[in-house]
Amino acid sequence: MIDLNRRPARKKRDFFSLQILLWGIGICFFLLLCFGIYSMLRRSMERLTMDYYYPFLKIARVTENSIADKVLLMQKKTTLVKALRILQNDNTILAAERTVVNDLKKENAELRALLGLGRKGTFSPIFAEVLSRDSMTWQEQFIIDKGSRHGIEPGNPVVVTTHIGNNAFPAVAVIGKVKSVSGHTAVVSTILSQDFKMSVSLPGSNSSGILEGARKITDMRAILRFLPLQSTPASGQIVYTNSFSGNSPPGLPVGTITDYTRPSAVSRNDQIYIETLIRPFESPAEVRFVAVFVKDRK
Amino acid sequence: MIKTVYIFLITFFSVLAELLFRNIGLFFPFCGLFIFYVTTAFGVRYGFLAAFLAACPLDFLGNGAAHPWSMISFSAVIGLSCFWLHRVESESLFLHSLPGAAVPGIIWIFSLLFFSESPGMVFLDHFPSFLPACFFSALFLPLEIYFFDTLNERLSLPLYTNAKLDLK
Repeated sequence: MIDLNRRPARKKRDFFSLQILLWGIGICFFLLLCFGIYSMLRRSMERLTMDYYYPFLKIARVTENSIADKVLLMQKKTTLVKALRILQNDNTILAAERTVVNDLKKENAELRALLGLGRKGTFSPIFAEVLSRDSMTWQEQFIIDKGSRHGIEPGNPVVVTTHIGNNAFPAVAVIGKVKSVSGHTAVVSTILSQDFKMSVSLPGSNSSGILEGARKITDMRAILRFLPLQSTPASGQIVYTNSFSGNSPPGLPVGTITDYTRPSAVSRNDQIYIETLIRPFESPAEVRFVAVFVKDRK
Repeated sequence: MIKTVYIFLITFFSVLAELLFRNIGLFFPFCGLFIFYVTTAFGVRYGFLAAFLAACPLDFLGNGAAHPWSMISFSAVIGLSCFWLHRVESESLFLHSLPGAAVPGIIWIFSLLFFSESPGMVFLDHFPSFLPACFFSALFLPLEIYFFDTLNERLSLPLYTNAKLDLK
């Protein structure tokens, strides 16, 4: 015989379960909606605030530079003339080297066309100045005063002028790469930042690895990982960028290998790659003027 | 409407001052102290408005962060302000040196947790600059309260010193 008293209780349970399910779906949908609205607002606020405050921070930098120029003019004329002569000398050498490089570029393009190879991407530098920093991330990050309106994109390498080895003539070296951009500004992650990853190569052995930022407590160095076991890194060796990612021109110096000790044959049997530490050429804390390599649009 | 414009303007100047100080490596929480003032004088809603207007530029432009994490530290400052208003009986302006010294601590600890990639190393590097920040904040907050109350009186805006009376 059917128990009529059980039917309403069962209906109540089913309705309660359905209620819970609907509440759950409603709450999930509401959370997704909130997350979507937050993501949309966050990006808008990020671009708006970065571009809104840009002119005011830029005024501060321009004022600093004008004061520095005025202080420079207060120096003796003989000192200024000597500095001018050195700069003229450097400019002449650079102009001559640029002529040779342009000629080589043209020859490279002609040879690639002859061999039927595709056109190689070229990069142009954009000069920028550090606009703002924070003391919490002084070594890891800074913001420059150029952005997407100047053609800068996330992933572009950022270089700084430095002296490499005993060479008296300055060269450029990678100091970081662009993390995000707004209209007028860009956030740069330096070599020491955990957000920094770049494919680099060792000259001679043609081995490549991934350089990751990892600031050591004792010294400021990054880690070069995934080097093949047969590669032969040596202390003092310079590592360079390569063209694997397509975001950076190859051949830019990045840093030097420090204190590399080749692992013993026994321990190497357990490893599938080797790691070494890289010291950047310039301390990110002292960087003021940089250049960003931007890919030329076809 | 005038309250919103007033808060927007003062927050803008506070953010600019804090960013300029940060650019030369100094830590001074202009925004945190103003949020403390606004929460007591104008209310919690206006406190959160000032916190939002300050957190976005400080984090996106100052730290290059992807999210406005400073909202969390500013929320703690708002909590401190509510606690000070409701629980502390004294109305002495000089006693405000205590929350003035506490605000940099709150902001600095949260910044250390959310922004720095190696908190231990940054703690050792920046602890010597944190103590002067607390000292100067302790001196600055009573002066700030006096200055803004003088300004608010002319603008017919709520005063910090009347906040406790309004509660009663």
